[in-house]
Amino acid sequence: MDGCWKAERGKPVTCCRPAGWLFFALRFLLGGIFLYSGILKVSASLPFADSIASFQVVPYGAISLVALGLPPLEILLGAMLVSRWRVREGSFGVFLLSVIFGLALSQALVRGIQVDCGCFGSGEPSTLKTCLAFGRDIFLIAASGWLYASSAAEQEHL
Amino acid sequence: MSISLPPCERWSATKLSDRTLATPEKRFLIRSHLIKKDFLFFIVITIAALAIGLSINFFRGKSLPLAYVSKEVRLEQAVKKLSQPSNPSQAPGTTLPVVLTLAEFSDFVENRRGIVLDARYRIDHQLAHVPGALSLPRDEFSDGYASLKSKLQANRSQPIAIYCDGKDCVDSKLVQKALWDLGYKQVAVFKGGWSEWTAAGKRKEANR
Repeated sequence: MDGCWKAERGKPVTCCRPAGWLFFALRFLLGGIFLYSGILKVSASLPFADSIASFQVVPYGAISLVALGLPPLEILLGAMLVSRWRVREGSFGVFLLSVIFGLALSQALVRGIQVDCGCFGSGEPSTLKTCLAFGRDIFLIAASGWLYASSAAEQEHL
Repeated sequence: MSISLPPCERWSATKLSDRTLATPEKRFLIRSHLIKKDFLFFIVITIAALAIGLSINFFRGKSLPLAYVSKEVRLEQAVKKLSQPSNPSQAPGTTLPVVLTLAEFSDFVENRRGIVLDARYRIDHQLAHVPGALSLPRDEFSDGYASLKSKLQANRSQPIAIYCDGKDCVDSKLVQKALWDLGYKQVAVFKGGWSEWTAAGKRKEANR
């Protein structure tokens, strides 16, 4: 519901809640990011599998499954956020994926592994890119966490 | 006397009264129930996404094998398939270093001292590349090599310089090793790669 509570006469009251605009903007931003990155990776499974392998956390037997399953999952979650269909569940999924990705990046930074995050297509692995991806991931965790908390709070009051 | 509140004030008042009605225990129960429900939904959607991914892969021309093979092993397999009794192409008295600096590589390109190979993905090559460079992606080595074989063999006496994305990428080194295994001995790598080339403001070329 975009965080827009209905007034007694059933009129939306987004004008009174700046958070409603923030909710709307974040929903589109996160949904757009996930749709874009998912679409990029669907057509390039092999480079994406190489990117996953560079993290050295996923067992070899599971790399292909992750490389094939993750892009459609990102597209589905992104579409859920953009289309406003099950925003709470969508933001929960984005939050979970971002946390898992953050943990994978952290272990790479701690172990000194240069990874190609593979987020928006494949490229050259570097520590700088890993740090940038980490910063971006912290934003994703915060934004999706806030979206989820807002949607869940809305649900609690229904 | 009743005061008519604007819609937003009415909303705040309603929400406040709701908050006072719900006990912390009740709210905790509702939240944990929601998290459980959302987690279950996430599992379901993950399975659906995996099914979609596997179906796309099944119907795609070049599908990803379910048993992942690392890029180093893939290249080794491709070289093994291509290799014939090698006929080393090293010209007597050649002095091409194994690794080229930007100055050496610029001189190599500008004076057309040999063949320049681009080991990056084909799409990157199509977007822009070093002038005169031919595409031999590490990822599509067998196909790329088959299409360049005649050119490479016609120029066997000429040195080859390979580049990829930048100093940290391994693709150029892997292609260099593959070409060595195929009998091309005068193969050098431009370590700085595409990132150093573009950072230096050197000329680029795109596929027509």
